[in-house]
Amino acid sequence: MMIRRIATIWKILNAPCREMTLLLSREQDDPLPALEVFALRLHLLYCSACRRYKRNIGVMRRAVRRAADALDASSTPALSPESRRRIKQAMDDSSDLQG
Amino acid sequence: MPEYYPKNTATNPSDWLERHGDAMYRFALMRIRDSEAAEELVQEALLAACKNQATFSGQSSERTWLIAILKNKIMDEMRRRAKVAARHEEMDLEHLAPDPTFNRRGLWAVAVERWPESEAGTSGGAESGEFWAAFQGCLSGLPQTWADAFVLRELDGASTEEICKLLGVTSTNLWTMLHRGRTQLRACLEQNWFLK
Repeated sequence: MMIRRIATIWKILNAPCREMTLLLSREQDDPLPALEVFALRLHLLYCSACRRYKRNIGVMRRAVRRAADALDASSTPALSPESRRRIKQAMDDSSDLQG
Repeated sequence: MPEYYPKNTATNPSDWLERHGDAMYRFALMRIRDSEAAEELVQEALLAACKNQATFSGQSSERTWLIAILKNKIMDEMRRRAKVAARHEEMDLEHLAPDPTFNRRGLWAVAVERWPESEAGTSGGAESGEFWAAFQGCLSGLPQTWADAFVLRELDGASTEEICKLLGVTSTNLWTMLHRGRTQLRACLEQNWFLK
């Protein structure tokens, strides 16, 4: 039991970049367990590629949200005249049915 | 309220398309990434709104109410296409090819560059449209379910619990999808936007 626990801890602490970036991604969505947080801190101390990954996915998240907000506030793209006519027709038909 | 005064004067179905149609279309297109499907969803939402006018309380704005109905339609569509995808490879993460970003030992196989501090071009304005186009291009390189998971998380701020339920995946699978999606998007946007 004890040995298995130690083996698990050892594995998490020594996980390679693939696993560490999984934690960095997961951290953007859910809180991490304490051991994972510790392992990640330690890894980031000496891994500059993972440090850049962490920063980049943060920049990416903010950029996507800002662009989405800007698009929400803009006036394009818009419904084509043709699809607008089709939707209007469908709405008129359904209100006729409802009387 | 005097009796002769009609209820729900704030809302009149014949105005909805004119006043909110384009905003609804943008909302759907940003999430569903297919113009025909987006038009279809706007129509479905408007028809559903006509039928359920009584649920409009007037406490929220007409736009907010219509968008909420549309959002439900979008989620139905994402649930539907996740079910279709589940029959194919992309959700079967165990049999998926390993992430080419990392070598067999799990170490970086590609460069991770430092991006400019300024976060250039992402401050809104005219450039945000260009950024959005680059982002959409990168997103289209992802399996649809990964892209849907990313969109739900980043655009709608849905919790992982909600996304798991909607797409019918475990949280471990979702974390993996989001990780691989972000890793691929990061590399693609580095090439096509941030270090272009």
